[in-house]
Amino acid sequence: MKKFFVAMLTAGALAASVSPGFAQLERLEIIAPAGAGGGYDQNARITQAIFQQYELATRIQVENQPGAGGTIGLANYVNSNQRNPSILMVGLSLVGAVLTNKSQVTLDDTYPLALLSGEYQPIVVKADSPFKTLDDLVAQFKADPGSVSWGGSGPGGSDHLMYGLLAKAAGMDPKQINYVVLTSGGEMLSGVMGGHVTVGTGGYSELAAQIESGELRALAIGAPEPIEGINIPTFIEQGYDVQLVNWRAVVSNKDPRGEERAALEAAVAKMVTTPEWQAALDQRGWQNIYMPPAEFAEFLKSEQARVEVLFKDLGLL
Amino acid sequence: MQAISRLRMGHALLGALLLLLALAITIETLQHEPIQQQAVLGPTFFPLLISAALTLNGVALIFKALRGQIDDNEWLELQFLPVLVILGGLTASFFLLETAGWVICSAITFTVTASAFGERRQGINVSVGLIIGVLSFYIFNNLLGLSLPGGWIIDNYFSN
Amino acid sequence: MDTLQFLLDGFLVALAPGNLIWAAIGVLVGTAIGVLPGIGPALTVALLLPVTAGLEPTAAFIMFGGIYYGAMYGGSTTSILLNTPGESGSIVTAIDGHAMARKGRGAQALATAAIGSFVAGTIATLLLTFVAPLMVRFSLMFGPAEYFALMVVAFITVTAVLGQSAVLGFASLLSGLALGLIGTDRQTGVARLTMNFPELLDGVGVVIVAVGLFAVGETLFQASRYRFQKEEIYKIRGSIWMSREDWKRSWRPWLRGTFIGFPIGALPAGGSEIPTFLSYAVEKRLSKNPEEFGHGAIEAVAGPEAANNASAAGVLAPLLALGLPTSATAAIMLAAFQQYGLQPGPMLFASNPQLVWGLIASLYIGNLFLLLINLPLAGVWVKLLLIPRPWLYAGILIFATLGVYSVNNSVFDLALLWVIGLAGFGMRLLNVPVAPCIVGLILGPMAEQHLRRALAISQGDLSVFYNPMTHPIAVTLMATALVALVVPMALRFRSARQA
Repeated sequence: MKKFFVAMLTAGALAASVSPGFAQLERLEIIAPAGAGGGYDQNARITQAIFQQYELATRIQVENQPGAGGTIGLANYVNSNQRNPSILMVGLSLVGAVLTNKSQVTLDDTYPLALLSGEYQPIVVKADSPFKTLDDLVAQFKADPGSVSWGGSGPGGSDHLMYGLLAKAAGMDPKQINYVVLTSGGEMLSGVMGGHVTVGTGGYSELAAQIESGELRALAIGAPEPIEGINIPTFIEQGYDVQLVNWRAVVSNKDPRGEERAALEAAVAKMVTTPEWQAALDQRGWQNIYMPPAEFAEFLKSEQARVEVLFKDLGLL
Repeated sequence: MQAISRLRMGHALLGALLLLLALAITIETLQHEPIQQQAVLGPTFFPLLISAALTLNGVALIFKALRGQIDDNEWLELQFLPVLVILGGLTASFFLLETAGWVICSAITFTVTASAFGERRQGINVSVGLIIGVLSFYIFNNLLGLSLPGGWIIDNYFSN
Repeated sequence: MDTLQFLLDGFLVALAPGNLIWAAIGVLVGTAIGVLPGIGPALTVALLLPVTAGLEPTAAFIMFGGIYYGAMYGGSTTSILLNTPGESGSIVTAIDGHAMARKGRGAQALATAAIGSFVAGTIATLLLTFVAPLMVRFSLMFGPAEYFALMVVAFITVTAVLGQSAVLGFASLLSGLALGLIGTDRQTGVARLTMNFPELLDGVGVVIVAVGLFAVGETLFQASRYRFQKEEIYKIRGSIWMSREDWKRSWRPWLRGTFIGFPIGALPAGGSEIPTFLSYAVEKRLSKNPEEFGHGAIEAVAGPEAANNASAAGVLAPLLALGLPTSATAAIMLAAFQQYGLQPGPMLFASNPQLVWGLIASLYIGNLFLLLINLPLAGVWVKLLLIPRPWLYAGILIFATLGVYSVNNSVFDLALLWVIGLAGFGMRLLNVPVAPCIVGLILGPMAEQHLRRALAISQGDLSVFYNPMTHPIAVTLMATALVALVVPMALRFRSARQA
C-alpha cells in the first residue's frame, strides 16, 4: 500500500518535473538545530513547504535538534552518516555559539549551500528616555559607561555583537558595555518599556508594533543602507560604522554525494525566486539576502573572522 | 535496633555525599579563568555560596545522623534485585534506542519492568509492550509529525 | 461600557452551534494529546495549529481555546494519575494529587483540578476584561530587583515542602540548587559544571528531574517493596464524586489560587511555577491540618491547579494589551494571530476589537467545555489505575521515557533520567523529600539571574532591595518574605515558652 502511494507520488513528480536534477531528492531531511518556533525552525518549515509545493524534493521531514546554541545539531549533522539527503539550517548565532561552546565541529566542516534570509536590528530606548538621538546615547556611554545598561539575549548573540560594534565605532572599549541578559523577546520589550534597561534591540519585526505605537523610540538600525518602509536612520548615516545582519543560511554535507549537492543547489536557487518565499519573508519582516554557494562561502569566512575579533573585544574569548 | 542504625548510616552517607558535592563544585568553580566582562557578581559567586551551604548542611547531617536525631522512621524491608533488573532493562533500551528503534525498546522496557514486578506471563508482557510501542510510535511520527527513532526494522521494511 | 458590549458580541459569535462543536472537538483532541508525556500545552497548540488553519478565524480561535485548555488539563491528569508531570506548571500537582490517587481518591483530585481550573478561568476572564490595561502598567514596573524579591518570597514556599526533618529537606533543596548551576551561565556565557558534556550546556531540564525523581524513583521504590505490600494501593474506595467536605476544602484554595496566579502570570517573567509554589505554601500555612500536605491534601491540588490556570490566562494580559509574548504558549498565540495577517500589539484592541474579544470569549468557552467533558470522564480516567501493578509501572516507565526523549530527541537525556531516577530511589529510602530539590532547581537559576541583573543595572548598589522611594514593589515583597519567615517562628517560640 505504501509502495503504491510512493509510486504515485514519484509518478506525479516526474510528470510535473521541472528539471531532472530534482528527482534525486527523495526523503529530504531538513534539520533545524533549535526547538520549534525559532528562526531556524521557521526557515526550515518554510523551506519544507515550498520544496513540497514546487516538488523540489519528496517526503520532506523537518527535524528539531535543539541544544547548546545549535552546536549539538551541528555536531550531530557532521558526525552522523545520513542515508538520505539532508540539509542543516545555520546562522550568525551558530557562528558565535561554536566559539562560546568551544565546539570541535565548526561550519568549516559543512558545505555552504546558500545564504537565505536576514534581519536587521534597530536599537531602541523607552519613549520618554532622555536620549533622543544615537549621539545622546553615545555621549552618556562615553561619560559614564556603567550608567547605560544594554539589554540583549545570550552573551555573544547578535544583540551583543551589535553593541560591541557600536562601542568600537564610538571609540570605546567594548568590555565596558554593561550588558544585561534578557532571555526572551517579552522580557526584552518589558525591560526597555519599563525603564529597567536603558537600551534594547531585537529583530525589527519583534519591535515594530511598539515602535509604531510610540512606546519605544528607535535610534538606529544596523542595515547598510536605509530600508524601504522602515523609517529608522542607519548607524552609518549617523556617522557610526556599524552594520550587522542577523543572517540565516543553509548548509549541506562536505561530501558532494554524487549529484545530490547539485540538486540541492538547484532546488534552493529555485525556492528563493518563488513568490511564496518572498511572501513568507515579508510576513516576518525578513530580508531576502540570497547568495549562491561561492559567494556565501566568502561571506561566511568574513563573518567568522569578524565574530572572532568581536568576541575577543567583548571579553568572551 | 539494627534496622534503625541502617537508616542512620544512610543519612550519614548522604551527608558525606553532600560534602563531596560541595568540594567538587568548589574545585570546578575555582578553575574558571576570571571573566573580562563587566559584572558586579560574576559566574562564581552562586556556586561558591551553594557549596558553602552544602558543606554546612553535610556536616550537620552527619552529626545528627550519628546522634540519631533525624527521625525515628524504620528502615523498610527491601528487595534490591527487581531494582537492578529494571535499571538493567532501561540501560539496554536506552543504548539500543537509536539502532533498534522505539518500538523494540519500549517492548524491552515493558517486559523487563513487568517481570521485575513478578508478572511472569512473558508472552503477554512482550505483546503489550509491542502494542504500546507501535501505538505511540504511530501517534508521534505519523499524526503529530515528531520523530521517534524507527530503528532498522521500520526504516528498512515499513517506511516507503 | 464598550468593553462589555464587545465581550457580549464575542460570546454571541462563539456560542453559535457550529462553533460549539469546534470547541468540543478542540477540548477532546487537546486533552488526548496533552496527556501524552513531554507534550505540554505550548507544544500541543503548536502541533495542532496547522489543523485550525483551514477554518475561518472565529471557528479556528474557538477550537484553539478548546485545545489550549484541554492540553493544560491533560498535563494535570498525568501528574495526578501517573506521577509524571509533563510540564513545570503541574509539578506541584503531582505531590498531593498522586498521593490522593494512591489513596483511591484520584477521581476527586481530577475533579477539583477541573473545577478549580474552571473557576480560575472564569475569574481570570473577568479580570482580563476589566483590569488588563491596569495590570499591564503594573507589571511593567517589575524589573530585575522586583523579580529577585519575588523569588525570595517564593523561596519561603520551600518551608512548606521540607518534610519532617529540616536537615533532610535542605539537603534536597541544596542538591536542586546545585543541579541548577549546571550549564552555560546566561549572563557571561561561562560553562559551569558541565563536565565537558555539550548536552549539559543548556542545563538540566526540569521535566527530566521531575519525571526522574517522581516517576522513575517511585517505580524503583515500588519494585523493591512489591513483595512486602500486597494490598492494592490505588483501589477506589467509596464514591468517585467530590464529597461535601471536599467542596468545603476546595473552594477557598480555588479563589486564592486564582488571585495568586493571575497577577504573577501577567508579569513578563512570572511563569507558572512560582504561582503554583506560592499557592501550595499559602494553602499549607492556612490549613487546619498541615500535616496532611504531602499525603493527599485536596487543598494542595485545588489551589495550585487554579493558580496554574489563572497564570495561563494572566499571560494574555500583556499579550493582548502590549503585544508582549511572555510564555511559550503566548508566542504560539502570536503565530496564530499572524496566520490571519494580524499584527498583535498595542493597537490590536483598537483596530480589531471583535477578534480580541472573540478570542477571550472563545477561551472562556473552551474552559467551560473542558469542565463539561472532563468531569464525567474523571471516573473513567481513574480506572486506568486498576491495571495490575506490574503493567501499570511498566507503562509509567515507557511514558516517562517517551516524555523525556521527545523534548530534545536525545539519548543523553535518557541516561540523565536513569541517574536521576536512581537518586530518587535513594531519596525515597532515606525519607528525603524530593519536592525541595525541584523547587531549588527551578528557583535557583531564576533568583541568580535576577539578582545579578539587578546589581549590574544598579552598578552594585544594594539599595534597590531596601529603598522604598526608588523600588517600592521590591521593598514590599522583601518585607512580605521577612514577615512570612519570622512570624511563624515567633509564634512557635511563644507557644514553646507558654508550654
